Amino acid sequence: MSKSSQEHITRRSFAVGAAAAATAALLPGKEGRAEGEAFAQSQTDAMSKLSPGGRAEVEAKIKEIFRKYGSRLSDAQKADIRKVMAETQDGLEKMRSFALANGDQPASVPLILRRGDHR
Amino acid sequence: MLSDDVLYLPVTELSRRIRLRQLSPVKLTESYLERSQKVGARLNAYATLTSDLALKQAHAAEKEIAAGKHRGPLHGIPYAAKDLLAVKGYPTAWGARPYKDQSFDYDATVIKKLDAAGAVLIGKAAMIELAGGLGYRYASASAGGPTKNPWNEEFWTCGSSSGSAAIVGAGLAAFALGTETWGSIICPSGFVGISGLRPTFGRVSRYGAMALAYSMDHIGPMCRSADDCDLVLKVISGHDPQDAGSLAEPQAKYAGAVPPAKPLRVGWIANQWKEISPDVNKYSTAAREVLGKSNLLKLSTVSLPEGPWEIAAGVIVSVEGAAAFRDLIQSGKVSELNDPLGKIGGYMNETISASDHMTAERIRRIVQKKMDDLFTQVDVLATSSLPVTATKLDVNLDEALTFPDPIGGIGNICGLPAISVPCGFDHVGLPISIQFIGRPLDDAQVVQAARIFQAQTDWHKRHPKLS
Repeated sequence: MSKSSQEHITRRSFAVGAAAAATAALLPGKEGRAEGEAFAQSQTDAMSKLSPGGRAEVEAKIKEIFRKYGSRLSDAQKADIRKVMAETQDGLEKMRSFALANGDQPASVPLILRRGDHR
Repeated sequence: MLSDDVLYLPVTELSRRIRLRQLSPVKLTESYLERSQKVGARLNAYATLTSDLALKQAHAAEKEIAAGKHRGPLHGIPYAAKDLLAVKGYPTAWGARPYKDQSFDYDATVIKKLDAAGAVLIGKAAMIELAGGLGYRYASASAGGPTKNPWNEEFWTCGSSSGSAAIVGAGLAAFALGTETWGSIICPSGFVGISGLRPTFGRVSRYGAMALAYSMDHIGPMCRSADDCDLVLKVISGHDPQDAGSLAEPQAKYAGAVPPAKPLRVGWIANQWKEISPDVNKYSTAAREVLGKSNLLKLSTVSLPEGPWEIAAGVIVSVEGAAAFRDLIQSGKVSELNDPLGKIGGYMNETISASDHMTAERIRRIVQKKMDDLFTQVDVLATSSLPVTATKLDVNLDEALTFPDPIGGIGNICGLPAISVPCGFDHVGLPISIQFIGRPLDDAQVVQAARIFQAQTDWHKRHPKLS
């Protein structure tokens, strides 16, 4: 049932991205060089699907995460962040492309709408 | 110790026997505690057993009932509460190692309400750390380890109300409280084959509950039947000035489900699951046929509106979660969480812009209107609770339990009530369930649809054989 992470966000990963690939199993480390290469490839793949603007936005966000928290993160965690952030970007761009009019107001909590009373 | 036949009875029947003094609340509590100590420990179902409190409450209930004072249908009924609900005098660790020593000097509102109704708290149920608020990839994302499915201990219960589901499914208590921000009642209820109700947002007070997403968190009952969910929701619903999201009393208070004056219009969702396992398809099709044959229901097929609802829901949860757990994230104590994604998820969630968050909230209003329009055609929506049955304990959930779930995102972003009830078993004996979803405040219609289904089927009466 696994799907491309760009298509959706799951209840377990929310906006941090639905990483459909076996990220943890592919983390560089004792598993060896081949798997590390595969992980690097998956990052490249996720990034390569993004527009230049999307890639730049992801890189800027990653840079900010590493600036604030980089000293706490292992190389494997940094790689994981790069991958998930790249996979998440597509969803954000889809959301931003949804047509909204200037007058479309936000709902900060669920509204109790009853039988068309919003009209 | 009382037999399994008694311990698996629904609250409605346990309550009747207690009221008629055919069943002792003390014996019932002692039996559930004994079973919880043995089976519960094996399943990783509990964070804490509250044995002293339980026995004190059970003895008080027995004494009152013997004196002719019966408080109502939950008097003397043992239950468990998810370990994100504050209970004075006991740890409330939110399923997470960084909070293992945390306790509160007050009871959550739902705990107070159940205490006033005479219910007996026998334990705090295990859960996914922080209710999955910073993300997770493995069932082991819980301070006590993965919770095992009572139907097959090599499989998971789903989360985040994992212990609550296992407790009800394994006959360790009569009912449990769970919470849902996105799937955390519906999924565990589906994987374990119990009846779990997510009430309308704002109907049940969250005061004293861990906050994950202020605009999406719900507390609800997890039981053995829709009737039991109805009983429990009547007790725990109502306005609470201590919860900013609480509805006004006339809306918040749930009066209970009564038989409808005319057939309920049920819309089977045509576009919920992109893929579905053959077993789930077989039994959900059979369930649909049951619904179609009922003269109390009028079945049709409907489609959910298309749009980025799940993404918007994910953005809202992530931003609210980053705010709720800001101290944990910024202190670096997220590294003490079990799950590899949980350790880094907060850092990523903090990068979501205010503009994206506001866009998500504007989209929420759009989908709320679209769902309100859909509910002019039908009273209740129905679909399979999940497209698959329970996953193995050790799998990467990004691979094994990842699929679009539009009604899950929509249901929680819009605060819609929903109930999951069992409708069959797969080829290895794991439960399959369907869910009913309603318009805000139509909890009674959702419960009534499930009741009608359960009156025609006996899936909810089956239980695992546990040694």
